[in-house]
Amino acid sequence: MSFAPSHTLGLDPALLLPPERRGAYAVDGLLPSLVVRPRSVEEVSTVLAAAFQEGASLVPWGGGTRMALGAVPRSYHLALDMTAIAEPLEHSPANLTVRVGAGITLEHLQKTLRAHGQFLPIDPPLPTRATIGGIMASSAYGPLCAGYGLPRDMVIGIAVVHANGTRTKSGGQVVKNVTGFEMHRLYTGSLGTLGVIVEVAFKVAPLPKEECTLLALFPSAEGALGAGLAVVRAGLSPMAVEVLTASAWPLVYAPTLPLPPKDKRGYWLLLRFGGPPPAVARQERDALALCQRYGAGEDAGEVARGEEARALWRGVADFGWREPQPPLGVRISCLPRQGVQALALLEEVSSVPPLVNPAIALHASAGVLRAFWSGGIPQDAIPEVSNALRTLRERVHALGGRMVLERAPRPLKDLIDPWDVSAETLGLQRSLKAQFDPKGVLNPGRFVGGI
Amino acid sequence: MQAPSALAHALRRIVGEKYVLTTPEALLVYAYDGSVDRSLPGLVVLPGSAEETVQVVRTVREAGWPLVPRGAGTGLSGGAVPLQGAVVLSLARLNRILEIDPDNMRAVVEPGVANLDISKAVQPYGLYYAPDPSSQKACTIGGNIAENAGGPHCLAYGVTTNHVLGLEVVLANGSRVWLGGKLQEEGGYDLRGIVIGSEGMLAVVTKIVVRLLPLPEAVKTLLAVFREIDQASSAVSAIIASGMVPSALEMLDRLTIEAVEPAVHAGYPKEAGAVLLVEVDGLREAVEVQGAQVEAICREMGAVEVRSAENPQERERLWAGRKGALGALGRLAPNYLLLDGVVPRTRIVEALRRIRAISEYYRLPIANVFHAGDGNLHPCILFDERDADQLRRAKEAGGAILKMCVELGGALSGEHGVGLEKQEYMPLYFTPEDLQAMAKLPQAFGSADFLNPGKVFPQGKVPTAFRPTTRLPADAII
Repeated sequence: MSFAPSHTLGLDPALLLPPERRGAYAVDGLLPSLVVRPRSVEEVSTVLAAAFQEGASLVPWGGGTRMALGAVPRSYHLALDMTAIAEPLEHSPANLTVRVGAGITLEHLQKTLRAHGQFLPIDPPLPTRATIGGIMASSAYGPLCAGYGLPRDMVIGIAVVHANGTRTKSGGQVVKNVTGFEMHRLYTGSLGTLGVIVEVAFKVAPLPKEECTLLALFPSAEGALGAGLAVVRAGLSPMAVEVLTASAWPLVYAPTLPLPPKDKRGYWLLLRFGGPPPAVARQERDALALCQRYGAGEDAGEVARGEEARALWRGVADFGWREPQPPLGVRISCLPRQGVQALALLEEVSSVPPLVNPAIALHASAGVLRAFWSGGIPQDAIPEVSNALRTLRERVHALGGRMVLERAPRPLKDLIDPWDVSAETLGLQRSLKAQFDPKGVLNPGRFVGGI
Repeated sequence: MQAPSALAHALRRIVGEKYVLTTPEALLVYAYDGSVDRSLPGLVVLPGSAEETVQVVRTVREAGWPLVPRGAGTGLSGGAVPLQGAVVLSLARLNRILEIDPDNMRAVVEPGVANLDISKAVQPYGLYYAPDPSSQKACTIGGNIAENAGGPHCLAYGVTTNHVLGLEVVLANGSRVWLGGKLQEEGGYDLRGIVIGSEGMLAVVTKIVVRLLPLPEAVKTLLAVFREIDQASSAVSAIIASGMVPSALEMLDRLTIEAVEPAVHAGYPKEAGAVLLVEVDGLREAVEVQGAQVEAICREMGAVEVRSAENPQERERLWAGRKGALGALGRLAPNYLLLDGVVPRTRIVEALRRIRAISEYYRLPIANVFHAGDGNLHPCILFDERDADQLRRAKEAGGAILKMCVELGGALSGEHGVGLEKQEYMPLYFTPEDLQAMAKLPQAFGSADFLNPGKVFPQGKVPTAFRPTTRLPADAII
């Protein structure tokens, strides 16, 4: 079936964006025939039902920040722009919960929550553009995962529109709820392949009374990671524990920050603490002592607070995602202690010319490394890069870890699977997909195992 | 369906002679859990390893029998009660702690390990496993996964799903696979996240990777006595609004206090209309600040007395009234119905008012002892089942309370699960489409009509819920 831009599935013209806007909705170089921007959940349902009827494939879009993730779409007829789904935005401060429409940006939500001294402790890249629906669909998170967990830990309810236009919900607006299966966890991280998320309910957290950020430079990765993990083990409850290589700083984009001296070699440990002021003072003191014990240099103890610290953490959260975006990025998951070995693997792979000098940042206590390569990848180097990444992935597997391509040029995606999941569950995952999207119209081919 | 004797024979060849139970006396023990429903299993099999579990699942499947996985049987909603004469698969013998990895703060355990035993085993490393359902001495981690168990301290730390990273499971077709693993996130659909809380209907869990936390260096417990329950409820809201999340926030109402005092001698004053128990933990400095803040808020909200404790013995004393509450209520009437509903915490005052109205309307006393911090109510309806009219009124009052929870923006179950108890009430909360979406999971897992059939989803029967109970483990504190 081919869909000319003139074929509009019988949809209300008010929902369609003009054809010249299609360029903004490219996925891996593919353009949709049609861009649809529903203004209500009812309209989302109408669009999906119409697309289902005709077997038209559909890619949901939030802010478009993570569209590089995933395999090349098998087909792409409709771009479903969800950014007009801006309702509800119901914050219940006394319940520490919020209900939010999928099209609302994270920053918009945070502004609403901050007005009441609360926040959603999820800090993925580009919060002014990233929408709640996109964040949940792609399970996007950032440094705060150390203290608060993943998006799947904060979600208490989700409403979706299924492939055929049916609307369902699971969970609710209470923080403790075992009524029925936990469908909201299934939809979290499913990349819109089982249904389109239209509304999410979260538990939120009080903003700490006081915050402080400690920066320490270590001559070795072992020292930086060891200190970070020791801080966690000591019960100092950091909100974030990041290790950055010296080459990571240019991608942290905090140009106004006087800290830290970017030219220094070594490994930086960034610790973020929050709580009642006396507790923060204690956290800072004990963490500093641990840094020194693990061999931090004379710079250990540089402390950032207030706007300076906020800018720093925004920069760290955006690591690798602000323009100009590096063309290639990977995410490695491993056990926290293996962070050093995973880091060494990344540094080894950089002997292949286009892969020299990766910028690496590590959510240390979570065991999640992100590496970006800023140089261009010439067409003729693609096979070699692919081989190098394959070797890297094998070595990561030998550690018991996983490696996902977060962003890669399309020719590279054609040679190496951007996803990395255990083959033994693929059968189960495919039968879930078949149950929820029997015609395979939602984001076809972009998820794991060709789902 | 294969004859019971042939199936028993086949299973004995897998697990050994003595681990297949078929005598009526033995089967009776597996006919019930902590709820009120009873139904005899066809037979009971206790494999000794994950490998044996695989063979058992395959054999039972081929024989055409349904299968019900079972932990310690402490569940309160009938999740482990075998319907249709199902085979009960007890995981009691899979009770080893396989690996403790203090560096990465993880442990790998088998499903039959008791919840509290995990924390005991990792305590030498200064670590613990956070979810603490009240039956934690007896209940197993496998059962906790089936029910996505909570506990008093999940207010600050979250429930089972927030602390389990991976599950090795046996699927209905007998294949053994890992869902999730030791990594923070494994990629693909969150299969781990849907098996947790699936009440044994999707897969049989044979290994679990749990996340461990550092033991808090300081814990402070405060007990505040109020004349009126509305004051105590306002204190709960004010504590949350002050920007802290205590590790526990528990409440007892007047009727419960009247029952508890003669039984436990907790020292609650006669005029007490409500008792609030608050626990804060973490760094000494934080605990000090937050403890003082809690005390100030309670006094401001009209507490007539605030006691606090920092050492384990004193804390135990403050908790005594809370922990003894259910046992004490059992003395007030021949029977009670223990409910489990949840409302947004801002609606607690209203929920309690409506429970009082329901109590008056049905002319039955209703006591409340509950997890106030997360709005998880446990109304306890007192009655005498020998009086048929009282029994009828008690059931109706129970239904009315559940409806009220949903009307106030809450849900049918905060922590006990749906099982048999609430399956017929599911349409109060979910649309037919919602339920159809959920029903796709057993289809996708190939476990429909095989693993724990007849649970969670409405069967079009008159609600079986709210039959009276007089039995609960003596140390059950809900």
